[in-house]
Amino acid sequence: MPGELAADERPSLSTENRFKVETYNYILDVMTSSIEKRFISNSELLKDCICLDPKNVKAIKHGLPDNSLVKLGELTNIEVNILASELHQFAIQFDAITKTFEETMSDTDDQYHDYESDSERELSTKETLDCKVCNNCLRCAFNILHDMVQQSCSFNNIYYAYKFVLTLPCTQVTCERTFSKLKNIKTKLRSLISQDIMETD
Amino acid sequence: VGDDKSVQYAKENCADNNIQQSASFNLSSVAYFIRPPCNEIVEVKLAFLKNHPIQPFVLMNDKLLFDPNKVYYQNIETTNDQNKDKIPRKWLSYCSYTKKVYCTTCMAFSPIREKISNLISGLNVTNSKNIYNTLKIHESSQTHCELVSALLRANLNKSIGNCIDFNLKEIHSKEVEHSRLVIKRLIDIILFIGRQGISFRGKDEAAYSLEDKSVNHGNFLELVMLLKDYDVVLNEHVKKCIELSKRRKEKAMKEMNNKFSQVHSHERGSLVTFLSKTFINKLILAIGQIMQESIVNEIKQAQIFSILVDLTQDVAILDQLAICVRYTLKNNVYEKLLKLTIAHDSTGIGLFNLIKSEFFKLNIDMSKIVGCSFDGASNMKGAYNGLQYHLKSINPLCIYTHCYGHALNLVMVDSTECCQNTEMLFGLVQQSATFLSDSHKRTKVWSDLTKKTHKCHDKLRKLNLIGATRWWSKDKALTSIIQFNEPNIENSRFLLFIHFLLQIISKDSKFDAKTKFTARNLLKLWSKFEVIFTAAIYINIFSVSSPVSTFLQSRSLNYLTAFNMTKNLLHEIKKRRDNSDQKCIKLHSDVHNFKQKINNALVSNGDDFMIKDDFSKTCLEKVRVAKKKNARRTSS
Repeated sequence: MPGELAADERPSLSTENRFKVETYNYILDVMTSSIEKRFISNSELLKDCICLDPKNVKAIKHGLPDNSLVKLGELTNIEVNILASELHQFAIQFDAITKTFEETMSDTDDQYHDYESDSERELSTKETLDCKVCNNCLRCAFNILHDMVQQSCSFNNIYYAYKFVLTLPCTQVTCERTFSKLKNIKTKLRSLISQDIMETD
Repeated sequence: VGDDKSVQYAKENCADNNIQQSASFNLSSVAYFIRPPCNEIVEVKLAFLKNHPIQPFVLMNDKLLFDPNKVYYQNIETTNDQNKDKIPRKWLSYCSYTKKVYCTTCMAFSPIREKISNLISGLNVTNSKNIYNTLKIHESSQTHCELVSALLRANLNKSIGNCIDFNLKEIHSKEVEHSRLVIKRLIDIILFIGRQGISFRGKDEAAYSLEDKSVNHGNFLELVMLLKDYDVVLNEHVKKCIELSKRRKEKAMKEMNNKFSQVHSHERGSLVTFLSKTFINKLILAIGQIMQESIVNEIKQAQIFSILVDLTQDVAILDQLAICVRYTLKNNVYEKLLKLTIAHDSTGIGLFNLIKSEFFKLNIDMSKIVGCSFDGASNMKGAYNGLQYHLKSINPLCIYTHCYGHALNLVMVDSTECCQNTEMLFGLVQQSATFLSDSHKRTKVWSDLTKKTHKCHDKLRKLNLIGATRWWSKDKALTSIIQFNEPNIENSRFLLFIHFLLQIISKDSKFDAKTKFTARNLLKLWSKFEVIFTAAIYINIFSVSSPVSTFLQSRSLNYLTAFNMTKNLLHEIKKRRDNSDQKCIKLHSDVHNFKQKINNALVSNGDDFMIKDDFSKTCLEKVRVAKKKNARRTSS
């Protein structure tokens, strides 16, 4: 490699340090690059998805970033302007709806929460997926939108966008779950079970 | 208007005739005024009367030529003028097109030979001067009264025709009801068995053998027999079936004896037990179809959906293709299995055609697929000839996602196979687990040891193997052998494992040389400081990655959360990398403590084993070579 020193030119390090550099750092580097390599797909769409995240409602109230929602608009066949304006409207209303009484009273601008604590919290507290109360995830926003769409027609497009994003799959777990069930049903003793009957089980 | 035509025929006739002229005119309303033939059965006549009386008060573009209150109601004259009692004339109908008044009761029930009254063929309102009087006269006439009583008799089912099959009908409907109750119970049993995933059938299923308690009839029949004791309906049914079946068998045996030859005892015919395998299979298929239909309906309601597809090989060496769908309905997200089918051609186009034909059968529009998720196999994800490509040919905007769970697993595989020390660690973990589970003699030694220190079900717990299909298996396998923050070091599994190995190589053990050699080797490797240190690194990493991995397997996960999880994982890993100096020092001291504790415990026990104090010289020379190789591979 250009710029790399030959083995005998390197500064002599203690075994401990060399282990650190050559094993610890190396493992983590491999992981980082591997994650970056493997999760790279659909980054444009993901950027748009982030705009839909209720956590970013406060920021969106002050305006959307440029070039956002382009990909989403293309995919859902809705004009970006309409989408953006509806999202803006929704963001304003969402905040008002979800705020509890106490929060409205003590409305301090806590925009500057540090990322560190945020990420740690998310790793530790596993979001319950069927939540309808946290007001902090896509599902809750979708719930609120669902109620709103039934009352007025001003959010139809953004409702569709949310629905679109929620419809997208991200894992194949259901299939794997099926196979695990399949293994229980179609065993060595029951290897000739007919396909239709198995499907029903 | 023809008298002797059937209602339907007359309706068609009307359409052909001149009546069609007026556009606003409702054809069917004229058809109501066509007399049913007088020799028709009672049901038809009653059906004719069902549409009557037709008594319009207001007309669309015409004026009523009479006072509706006087025509439609029979006015009983009392002395008190204010309390005039009004009785509606149910028999009277007025046809606004022909402008005629009819007596529908007479139309339906009058015999043909009688002189046709003008109210049957229609009393023209425009001609008749005294319509009110005519109606009154007809009302009180004898013919009309007779026909009214005929109508009432017909309504009470007292005509001769009804008398005959009335009993039969009752019996029939009772039987139907009974069978329905029985089948409802059978369906519940089937649903129970399906939920438990147990088998339906056994070997002896003939209904005549059901009473024999010594024979196992299979889950389904045994459940029926169990419920029978507590349920009247089922009990009655099963008793009857057993009796019928027995009689039938005797008959068949007699025939066989008479003819001295093999006669087929499988007569087809009247015995319906609802307990045979054919019937159960039909029920199961029906249940499956209903479930599938409901899913299909939901998909159609949801408009857009995405599919998840995967292949696996089952015990019969067939490729099973699972097609799952994901859709949002109302405010819920669903992921459901749509179809499980056998794939004979697992190339991209083959799979695509299979999926297409399945969707065609279910009548689902494939262009509504907005997303798909597969694993990383080339026949699936291939951009030029994979399933992904073909799906995009139907809907170019279809979004493909490489399953996040699989991708994360691949990341872990990448990291655990990157250099000599990691390969060494996981190889060692795997080898230790197989060494233990390979032989029952070794397992006996192990369980004798664990019984002393472990409680409850931990007593029999072995070391975990690294499975290829389990995403978190590396974590499980590693932590099953070594853990750093155990409060009681004497009871730790690592110490136990060392004891186990020491026992095997001890002088008075009866294991053969090969086993002892492997045990000695394992001991030697586990005593290396760098192995323990690498384990510490990985346990640290797993503590972040495993929650993500299990989270990714939860139900109805959405795109954004999954992305956020991986982003956070990356962030955590990067943080560890950036603070590598501090982290390493901390890990080093942790490992040192652990080593000290283990060594102390071993020394106090008088064992001949120590974990080395520091890195061995050999562990790094080769690492550099391996690293260079890897670096070249990744850069190319």
